[in-house]
Amino acid sequence: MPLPTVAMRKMRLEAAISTANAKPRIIYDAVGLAGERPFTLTFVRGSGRTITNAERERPVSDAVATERGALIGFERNDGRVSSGDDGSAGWVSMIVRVRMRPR
Amino acid sequence: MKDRRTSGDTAPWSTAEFTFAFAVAGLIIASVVVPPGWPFWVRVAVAILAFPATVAVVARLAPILIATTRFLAGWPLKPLQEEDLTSEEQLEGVELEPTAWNIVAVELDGHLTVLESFPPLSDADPALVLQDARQRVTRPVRSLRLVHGTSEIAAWHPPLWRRLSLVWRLRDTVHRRTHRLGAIIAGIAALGAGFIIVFAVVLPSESPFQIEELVWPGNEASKFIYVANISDRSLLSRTVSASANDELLVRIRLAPGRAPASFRLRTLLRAARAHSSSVFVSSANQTVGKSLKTSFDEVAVKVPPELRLRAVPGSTMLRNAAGEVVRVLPDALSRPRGLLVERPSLGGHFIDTQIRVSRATSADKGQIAEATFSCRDTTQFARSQPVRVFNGSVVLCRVPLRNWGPRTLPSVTLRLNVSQARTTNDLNLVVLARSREASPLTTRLTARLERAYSPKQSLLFISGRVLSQDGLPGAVWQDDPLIEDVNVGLLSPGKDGSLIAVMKFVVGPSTGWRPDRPITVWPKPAPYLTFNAIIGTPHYGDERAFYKVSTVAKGGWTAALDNLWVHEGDKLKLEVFYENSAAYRPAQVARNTRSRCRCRQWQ
Repeated sequence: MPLPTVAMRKMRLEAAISTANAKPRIIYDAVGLAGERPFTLTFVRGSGRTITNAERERPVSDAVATERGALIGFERNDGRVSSGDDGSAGWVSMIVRVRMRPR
Repeated sequence: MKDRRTSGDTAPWSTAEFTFAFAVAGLIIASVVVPPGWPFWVRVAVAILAFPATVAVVARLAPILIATTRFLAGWPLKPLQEEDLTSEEQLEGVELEPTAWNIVAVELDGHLTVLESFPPLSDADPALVLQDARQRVTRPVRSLRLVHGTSEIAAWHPPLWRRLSLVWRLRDTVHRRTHRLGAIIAGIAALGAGFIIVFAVVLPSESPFQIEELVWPGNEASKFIYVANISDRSLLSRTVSASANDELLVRIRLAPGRAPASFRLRTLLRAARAHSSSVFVSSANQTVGKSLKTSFDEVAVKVPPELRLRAVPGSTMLRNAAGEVVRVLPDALSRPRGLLVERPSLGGHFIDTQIRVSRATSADKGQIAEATFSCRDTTQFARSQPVRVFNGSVVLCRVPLRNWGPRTLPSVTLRLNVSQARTTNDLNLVVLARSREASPLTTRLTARLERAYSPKQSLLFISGRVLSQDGLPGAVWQDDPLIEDVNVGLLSPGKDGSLIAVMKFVVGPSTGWRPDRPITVWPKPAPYLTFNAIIGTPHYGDERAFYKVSTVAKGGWTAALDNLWVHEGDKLKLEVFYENSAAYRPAQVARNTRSRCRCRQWQ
């Protein structure tokens, strides 16, 4: 699992969007988390969701929290995202829980 | 009588004539291209087809028009040079008596015409001879010359009134030469003028859709709603308050006589989420779910429950310390006709991606820094103000400016000093600015907005409503959601305005996105298939920073942040925003698109 198994007081979570034919093929962004004590993150299974302008919210595979990743898409999770003003954007979300190391 | 050309007019087309021809042709074509109501490809096709023909016709007529214009305007003519009459080529076919006096007329197009030849009159005044001869000239000429052999002894240039009189008297002469082509060019000119009048003056230039009225239930929840015209991407916005399952009533007025178009009503929540309600309205009476039957119609938009609207402190109006209402940018209801306002970047702009503070001296728990703001413009006014900064704080700093105008705008600087930090982490700053006097004037913000994206630009001229409890300048807030519906505003020249700087302080890395890649500024799409390469989008801002985190607070999700201070048991939502930034083409469909995440030690 890419989520940390080793407790850290500060961690940097990276997300990547990869495609087969875009340029660049992979783009990254990161968020920073910090706490008073070292902590780990636990992925809440089944919490992966995606929403686009075309469809209402639909589930995403738990693989979204892995290095391999989960297929996403505009109208269905088939990996296809069309271009254009209205048919090109969406959100993918997942929920994790914070587990602090005991004092 | 036979005629010759003067040496300066032997070329059939001069540069001025070509310029004239192309200018007239361009004006006519522009009248076809400019009308916004026509489909783009039709306009392009008409322009491409019409331009060569128009240029050919106009260029054909150009010499005559040029000559007439010169004649009427009293164009200065060069003196008749000796070589004009002595060259073999010039003299060929011209019957000049070398020993006689010749009255030569310089025609409009430069031809020389020998009007009379008679023996030299030794006792006659040449001027009187020429004056007598000009009475017999019944067609427009540039000048009359009295030459003896090859020497000019007198010349007469018709004055303006004489020129006009001759042209009027001899209009039939001119008309006979040009009546057919003149009719054509008159028709083309009339057609072009008609296009210009019809499409540029009579028809309205703004969007075919206008929000006539927006009715919403006033309650605690708040959200941002805007109406965007898809055809020309103009923005019509209005801030409203609503709760889940509320129905918003949008009354829309359609401008008559325009080509079919459509708009989409879109709602934004917390300036981070976008949800399209997919309400299409078109002037062709095609609406999803409802037809337009009159020029006025109402569209009810139901706020979807999945948006999970939450109450946000504050209202749609904000009052500052002086009790003045700090308004949002004038929206579509009060925006004057023709004013274009670019969509804002809700994400703001990082002026200094990393400001490292070295030590912590503050005893206040949670305080990470103390900042001092100062603002100086060309009216030599400066003000500084210290505030305490906490992690995640949004700082509202109001700096009044006196009698400033748009020309002084680039010289306004806002400086920030950060000291007394509690941690050694970097601070991220998002600086927004607005004018209290956001009256709609003539200045367009397009250039400034683009300039604001320059890495060297220190101030982003974006106005917005900053929700706060009392609107005090320098107020410090603990959460991001305090910034709502940020819009681009206009600064009032010549008035006492104020900059309101909104700064967000977050402990953590500045930007985590990579790799560095070419970007485009909204609304221009990327020319090739790429993801998250647009900045300044209205619903997201900088798409490169597509990863956000939010947590649960008071029963709902907080705003999405780049960095977060976590606690035991916190439930975090990690969100990835993705967008295919390429312009629409059937072939530009991304394949095998995946989203994934991983964790790294924060160095």
